[in-house]
Amino acid sequence: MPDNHTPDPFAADLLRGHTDTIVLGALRREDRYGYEIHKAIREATGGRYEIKEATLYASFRRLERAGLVEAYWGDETQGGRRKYYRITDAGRAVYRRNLADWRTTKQIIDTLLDHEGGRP
Amino acid sequence: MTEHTVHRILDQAFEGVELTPDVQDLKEEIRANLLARVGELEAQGRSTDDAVRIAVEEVGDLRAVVAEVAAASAQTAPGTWVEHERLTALHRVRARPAVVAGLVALSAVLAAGVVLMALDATGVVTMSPEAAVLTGLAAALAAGGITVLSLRQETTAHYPMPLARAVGWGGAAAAGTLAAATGAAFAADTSATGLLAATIVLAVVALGAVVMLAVTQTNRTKEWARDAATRSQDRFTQEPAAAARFGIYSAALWLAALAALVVIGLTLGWLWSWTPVVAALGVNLVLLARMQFPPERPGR
Repeated sequence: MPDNHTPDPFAADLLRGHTDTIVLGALRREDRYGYEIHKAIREATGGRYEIKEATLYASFRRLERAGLVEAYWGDETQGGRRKYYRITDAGRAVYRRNLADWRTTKQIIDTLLDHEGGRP
Repeated sequence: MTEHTVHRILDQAFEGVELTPDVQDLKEEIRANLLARVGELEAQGRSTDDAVRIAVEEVGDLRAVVAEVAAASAQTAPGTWVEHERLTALHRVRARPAVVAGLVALSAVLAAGVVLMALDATGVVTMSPEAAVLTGLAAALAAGGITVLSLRQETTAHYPMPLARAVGWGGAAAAGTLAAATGAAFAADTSATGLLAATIVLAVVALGAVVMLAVTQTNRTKEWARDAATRSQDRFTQEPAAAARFGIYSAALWLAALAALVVIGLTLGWLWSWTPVVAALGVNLVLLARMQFPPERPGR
């Protein structure tokens, strides 16, 4: 079994609030299916953080309802057909806005915590 | 074998949940993802049983999302005009003055170019082919500029279009305008076959670009506007069952009216035979009003 390091509750809460933005980010370059997105997120953090797939399914549906992603079934001939997600123009705009918001927030928190972006 | 096990486990997870199309869709999606993970684990040398167990464990607790999808049926309340106004005001995005000024200037260039080209094509003004093409080029750049500038703006209901795609639309608009310009120049001087060739090539390029951009276009409407559009649909669009019921009632009504018409015509005389038709029309209109705009019941 891989050694799953679980972030402490504070970090996990903080991350959870950004699940939708993280998913949008994972779809920026190419269309992906659920497990691919899950894997991309896990690998991007070197396995330090993973979003449970159950959480991802809820996120996909939220994003789809909001028109930020579009879903379509792939045409795999063998095995189960996969459901792919594509980011929409609205999704890109929201992603960019959330990214800008996050950078501002990060700066403010860094300042407030008297933390220069390096080690405390 | 693997597929069989995964399917059984999923059946257990979805037990007791009504299989609506949305729930079925979620189940199929999870199944394909599980199989992908199982395949990966097996490639790493795990036994099938182990792989399935790990994959299922990794997915986590599905109950919340299954319940959510099962519960999410059409619960849209009819939107009111007042509510729509409130939302529009809340999300209002004002146009930037610099952009408006730029659009006005570009529009002036485009309008001047179009007028000049039209005058040239109809022979009112005589221009050399070079001058005509240059005029067309200016108009094309203006048309492209207007397109890109407009699509890049965030509006009250829409997000701005990504730059690359906006430039694509702008290029298509410019090519189309230039095609019109070379076409007009050719109309003025039909001996210049080079202009005809240019017109055809540019028109094909513009058309191809528009088709490609249109079929790959994705949503850029903001969430609130999408919601508002769904909610402001009339009842028959929201509830096809209500529309079907109205259709059947109407059919029954007119069938009865027709029968009454014949009966009255044969018994009382044809002079009064039209009365059932008027009555049916009245009833039909009341029926439409009651079903399309149901009276609000207290406590709903």
